[in-house]
Amino acid sequence: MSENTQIRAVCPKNRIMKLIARILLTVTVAALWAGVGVLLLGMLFRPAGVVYTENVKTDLTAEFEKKLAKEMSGIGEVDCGDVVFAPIKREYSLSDMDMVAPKPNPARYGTAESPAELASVLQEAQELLDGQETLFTTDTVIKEGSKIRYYLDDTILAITWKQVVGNGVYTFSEVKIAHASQFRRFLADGKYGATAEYTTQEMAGNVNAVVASSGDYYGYRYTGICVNQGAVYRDDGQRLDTCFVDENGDLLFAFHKQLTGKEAIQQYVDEHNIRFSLSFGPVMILDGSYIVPPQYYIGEINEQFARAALCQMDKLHYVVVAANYEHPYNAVHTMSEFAWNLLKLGITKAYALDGGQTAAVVMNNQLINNVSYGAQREISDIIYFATAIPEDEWE
Amino acid sequence: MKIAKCLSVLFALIAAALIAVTAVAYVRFSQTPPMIQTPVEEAEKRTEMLMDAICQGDYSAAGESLYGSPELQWNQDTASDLGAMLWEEYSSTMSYEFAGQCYATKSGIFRDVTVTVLDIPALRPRIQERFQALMEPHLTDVQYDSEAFDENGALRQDFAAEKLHKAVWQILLLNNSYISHQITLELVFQNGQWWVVPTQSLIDMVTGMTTP
Repeated sequence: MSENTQIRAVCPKNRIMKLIARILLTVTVAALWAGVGVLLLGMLFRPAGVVYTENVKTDLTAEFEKKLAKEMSGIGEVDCGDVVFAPIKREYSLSDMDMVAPKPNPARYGTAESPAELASVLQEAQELLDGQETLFTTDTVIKEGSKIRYYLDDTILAITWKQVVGNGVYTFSEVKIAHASQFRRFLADGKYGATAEYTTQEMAGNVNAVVASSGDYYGYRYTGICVNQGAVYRDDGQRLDTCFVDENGDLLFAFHKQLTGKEAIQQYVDEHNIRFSLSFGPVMILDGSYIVPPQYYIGEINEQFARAALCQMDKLHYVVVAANYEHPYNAVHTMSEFAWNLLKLGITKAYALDGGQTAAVVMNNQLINNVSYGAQREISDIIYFATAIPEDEWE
Repeated sequence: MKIAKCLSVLFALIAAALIAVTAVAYVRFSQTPPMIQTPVEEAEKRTEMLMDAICQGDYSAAGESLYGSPELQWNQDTASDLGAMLWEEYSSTMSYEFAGQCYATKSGIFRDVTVTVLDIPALRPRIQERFQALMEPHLTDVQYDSEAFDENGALRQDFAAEKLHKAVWQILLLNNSYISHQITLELVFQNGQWWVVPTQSLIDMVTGMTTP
């Protein structure tokens, strides 16, 4: 008997261990293959894919009328000299998912040296204005030597002018739009939290704004409520007043401490169909009343700085304002002076945006106001107004 | 020793058999569409309930068959005169026919349906022509037709609107313009019941004037 055989003969346990090991190994391999088999067989019984989770509310009337306007546009039109009966008007709107708006028609821009020259523009805009009165009139006293700029098509009227107010120069841009989707917000690089910053003019040009204003510069701070495309990105409502913009284009205000916590804010956003928000403030004027607080967390409201504001005049009717010094009118104002001046001019609803060097108003890709320190600050966001008429339908 | 060898051979054969079965199963079944686990009749009944509700104008019931329970509402108050007339005709004349039973593909469970609806785009030129014909007698003598024109010579909007209403009514009365669209209804099974997914093509069909 060999030595190995002798060793094996005296170690019967070795054989048993080997056998057990083989069994275990085979069972393991078999189990692995069985598992693979089950996975493959599972392909026979795949459950149907389930993705949709949203609770949709479809207004059949609005959808049908929208399609009717497109398909039946021009029906019932009959030309009787200067009067045309046009019962079906095409409704244009934009999608918040589109990062860029339609290009404005260059032929629709104009300039004027005096308010009286805009009488025909205001007349032509009567249908769009739908009975609403404008802040700008042919009696408005503009800053000497300044131009009035305007844009008018079937979906947007924008008039930009400068006025001397309290020895400062206020740049107003009054806008009336046909659809709420034409009032838009753009975050740098098209997304929340981008680190890149750009001037208001650059961003306005990128998105085809007819008129744009600097926003709340949300990227500069960590506080405030930030909502974009209906989603809550920042939920600190402790210190700043918030201006929400809903699906109808109306400004809804929430004062600081009124809305805190992501859940409460998201609920508010869902209930009111909020599209986006601005977070600087304070709310300066509400229902025709002056309500600037004596103190505010940001904005150095009791110091004299350039100021900016977003105001709502009426349904789908807004004014953006930038208040700067411009030689020889060298005054800049405290928040209370700014608000008081706007109130006296007839504005009944106003929310302060980031002022100082941030404040910028751009129209037709041109910077209009005299920005502080002579150069635009690079910021994180703008608000803007766009035409809804696509380029292939220019007249 | 002999037993151990036999066992080794046996285990090897089992392993080989498992490998072969798995390979065959993969080749045979990987391209096969899934089988529907729950009774097919229930899925088909859901599609029938949905289409019946839509064709009867019962949008509340239609919403109950749609995944996510969307709210479908027709609001007569916000409809234009033209819109209300055309919607009434569109929704009341809608009909459907299923093209077979539910079937499964890799991406889910579906059922094809052919929907026949009022061809509104085709009505447009006929309505306009009829409207022009009704207006024509009043356009030849602007100065003296006080029914159609006011003292400033401007067209009375209510007069023209009435003529348009009449034109639409007359065309709908004689109408035979219908168009059929094939739509694929997509179904999901969740929470113990079948639902039809509110896809864009379905919503388009319900809200009028889909492009074939």
